[in-house]
Amino acid sequence: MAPAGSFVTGVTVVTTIDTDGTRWGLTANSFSSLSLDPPLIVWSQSLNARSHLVFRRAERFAINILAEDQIDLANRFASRSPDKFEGVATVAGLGDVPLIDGTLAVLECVRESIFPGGDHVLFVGRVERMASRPLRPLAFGPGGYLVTQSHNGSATA
Amino acid sequence: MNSSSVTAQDPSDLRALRDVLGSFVTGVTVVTTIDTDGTRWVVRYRCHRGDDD
Repeated sequence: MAPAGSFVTGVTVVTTIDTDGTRWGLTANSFSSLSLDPPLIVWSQSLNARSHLVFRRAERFAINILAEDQIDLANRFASRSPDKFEGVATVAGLGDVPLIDGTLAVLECVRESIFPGGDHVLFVGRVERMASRPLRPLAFGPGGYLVTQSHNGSATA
Repeated sequence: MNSSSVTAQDPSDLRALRDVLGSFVTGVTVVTTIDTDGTRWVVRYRCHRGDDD
């Protein structure tokens, strides 16, 4: 049986800002759409993440979906760097939540609800604003980062 | 820095929302179960699709 890591995903950086004005962000591939009407998304975070309490308290967050040339950003926001935003071009979104420039798409969300999920919590967000660029996505799967290409549709089994 | 132009879209536009959400890559699963009558059920699921096909 293949482990969970065999499931291919895109790569996001989830960002928010705390009440002191400090910007927070982390790389996450635990993102999924949840509902189209109303527009809801979900992502999960480990209870042990350094930024967990910040996100638990945050009323807003943004999902920045990375493009295929943004591996450096994925690695940076997956690290324990003291200032992950240093040198990263951002703009202030709704509620001053930082939006990373050059991403494939960004979804600006207001937190709708939080659900427990074992050693993680699920954050459900309602999409208030969104934007996209005609870029190719960065993917993550077995062996690390991946790029995508269209399947030719023929069976290979 | 990627210089491609950004397009703002309205989340209440379901087609636009589906397109933006669809830019997130996922694998594809087939979720299976069996009911108390022994009937097997299957749902093909991927991003935005949780309906029986």
